[in-house]
Amino acid sequence: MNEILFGMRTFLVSILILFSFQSKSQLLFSFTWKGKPIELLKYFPLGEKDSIQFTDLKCYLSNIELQGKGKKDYKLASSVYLINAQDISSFVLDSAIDTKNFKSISFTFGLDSIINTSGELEGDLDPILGMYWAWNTGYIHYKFVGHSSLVPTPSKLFDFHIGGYRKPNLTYFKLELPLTSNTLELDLYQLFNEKLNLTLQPQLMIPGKLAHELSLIVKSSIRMK
Amino acid sequence: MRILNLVLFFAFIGFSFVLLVTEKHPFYIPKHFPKPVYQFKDVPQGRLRFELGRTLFYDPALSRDSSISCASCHLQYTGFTHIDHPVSHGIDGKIGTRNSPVLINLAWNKFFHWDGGVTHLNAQSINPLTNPKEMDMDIVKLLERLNNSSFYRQRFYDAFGDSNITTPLLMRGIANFSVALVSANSKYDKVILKEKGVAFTEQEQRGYDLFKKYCNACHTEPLFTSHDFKKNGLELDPELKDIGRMGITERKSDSLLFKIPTLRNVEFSFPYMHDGRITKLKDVIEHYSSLAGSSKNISKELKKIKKPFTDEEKKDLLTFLKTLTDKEFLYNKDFSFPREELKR
Repeated sequence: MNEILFGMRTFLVSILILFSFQSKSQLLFSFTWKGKPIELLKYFPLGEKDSIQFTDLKCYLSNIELQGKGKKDYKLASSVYLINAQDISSFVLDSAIDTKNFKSISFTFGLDSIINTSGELEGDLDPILGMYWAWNTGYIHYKFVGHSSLVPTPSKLFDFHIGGYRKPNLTYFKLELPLTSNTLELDLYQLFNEKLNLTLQPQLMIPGKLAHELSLIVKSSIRMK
Repeated sequence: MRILNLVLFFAFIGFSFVLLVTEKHPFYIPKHFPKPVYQFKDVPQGRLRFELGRTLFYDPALSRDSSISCASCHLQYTGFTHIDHPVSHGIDGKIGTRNSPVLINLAWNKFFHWDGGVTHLNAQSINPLTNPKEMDMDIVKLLERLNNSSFYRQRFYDAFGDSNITTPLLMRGIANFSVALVSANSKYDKVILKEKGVAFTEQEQRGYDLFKKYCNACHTEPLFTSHDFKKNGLELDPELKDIGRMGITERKSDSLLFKIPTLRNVEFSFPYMHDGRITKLKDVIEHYSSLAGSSKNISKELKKIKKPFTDEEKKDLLTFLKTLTDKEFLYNKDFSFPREELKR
């Protein structure tokens, strides 16, 4: 019951925040499923008879810049942003910028090798935030956790920790998109509906070839709303 | 009279504090060493920071059940490793899969752990702190524990000017101790630095000549490691199934590659190799001797050994390796258990 209430509250507040911020034309991020904001704990249909629910969604964005219409580029205040679906305030990347004044946005999805190995550990890079790999210096660039009827274990848990900054299995990538709206979104439908087979592969906790392959799907699933 | 005593007491405490604040951090760069890899801008030096790191290193309160400290597996008198244990045991007696590495001259290391999985000294201690087979401590709970301690809040304030203990401060605190573990006062060093009245014996010199010919490519002077990863001819342990560097890079060519350890204080850091499978130093030499002319898939440096060492050569090498013992380091009181700080 508490979980359902938490999910409903998160969803309602996130809708509220998204609407209020949209009117101010601030820069936002959103996890979506077929174009609609993902509500944690809510079940979405997957395939013909299965379903999926997300309990934890996190990702890093870094070195975000807006390219102006003839103006100087605008760098966001922080070089690293951790987006956490359980903390909707993290969806707000910048609350003091009118995106209409800019034509494109560039950023790194994940963290480059310099940030991964700097030993910085400050702010959004603090290991207590659950995105740090102690055994293999570096960060989980994005984390997707939840339950699905497709997972054959009793808990139905799936858990994807995707990271890696060494060639050839990079999982961070740079993107530049036209700034057609003020909301950057990562739509998880394609990744979970077309690429992943949760019955055969319900989890991934290490860098490597599969992590790199998944990162390519993630890359193609990022767009402006 | 009582007031005068009190004034003198506080004056003494204040003076001691000023001394500690102004006293230098014990880290130094020996004359014959290269430039360190460690970026010291990350950790501005100070004696108080070193002392804080030393206290953290020896404090069992850093483990889940407050039973073991970093020092439990890294004993000073053995070059900060765990002698007599092929692989170390952590919390609840749980056994790990690797031999506890020595903590010597870490400021010159690019990689940490046998597989080089960790690339920064400041981040290194997160691994043993949180590993379920080592100290099994949740960092959030550890920060809570330390922030609830008036002793540590005061110590962090004195060292970093901030009593709010965070992950970066904790990591820098520990690194301030480990970076200071410089060993460069062995007989070898004294000979190299041409210290008056110190010279190799004939046997040590013969061993040194052999060493330069056959071992120095990997155990490169003066740090006695090239910091590279090599295949040293040991077969995969079927129980531990440790594939080494490949576990980090995912490259098949990195299978069974392990970090080359420093040989400084090697006389006292037994047992040897990544899983501690060789107990005696003479048997390590025997192992490399046995690879002479081998068709095994071993590092190209080992292929230089064309024929097994003679018994005399083995003794010469062993005698030279003992000149790398640095008793000033092994018994340096600056690095020992901080009795006064931890008698709480």
